[in-house]
Amino acid sequence: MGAFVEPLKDIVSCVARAKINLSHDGWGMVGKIHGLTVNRDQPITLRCRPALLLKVGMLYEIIRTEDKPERGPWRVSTRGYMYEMQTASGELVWSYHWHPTGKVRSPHAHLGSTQLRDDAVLSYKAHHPTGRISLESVVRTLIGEYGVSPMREDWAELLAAKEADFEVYRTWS
Amino acid sequence: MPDTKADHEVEVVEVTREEGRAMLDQAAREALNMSADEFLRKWDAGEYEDADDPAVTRVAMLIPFAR
Repeated sequence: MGAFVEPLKDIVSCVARAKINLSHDGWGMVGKIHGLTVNRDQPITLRCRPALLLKVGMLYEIIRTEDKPERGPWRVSTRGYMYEMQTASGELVWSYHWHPTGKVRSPHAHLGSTQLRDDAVLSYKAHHPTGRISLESVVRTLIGEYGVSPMREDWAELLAAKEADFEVYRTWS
Repeated sequence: MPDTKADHEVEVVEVTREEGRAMLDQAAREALNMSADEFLRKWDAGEYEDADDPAVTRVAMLIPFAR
């Protein structure tokens, strides 16, 4: 579990001081899909103006593997994610989803309806396909595109290093 | 000014099933105007198998917290 949660702690620390919450038995029970959220599923207030909020949710499973014996017999495999940016009043701006159930099961993005004109062709419910999105890239976008103030000086190097690891060890993209 | 490295610690905390169920209940009420029990009943009955509402996804991500 350490190889899974330690990078997440560092990534979250770039923009927030909040606890990462695991569902019960989430530290070690095998054969079950576990949940992970940040700040007990409550949006995190980001340091920027106008204020923006971030919600993070993930699903993961601890599995036995013999693929990379140098990393031990256990691996944590991501089974789903939800990264969501909201306005200060809680309206969705955008979200990135990947989940193993529902009508669209491949990675996709949604645009918040309050960001769209009433006669917009784009719709909140439309699923816009994406590749697999990392939490690192979401945090980098918040800082680089939306003016969120980083909470640590080494955020760029840290995100680059964690993302490099992610690309080496992920099993699909 | 960004903080120093010493200030970075983010804790990882396992929540109890009861706490997790309360999280799911709050999310279901906010996103879908129903209780956790009603959401789980519909989920288990397969009523959301072809759902395309992102609000369902928001709530469903919390199911492991309640089970």
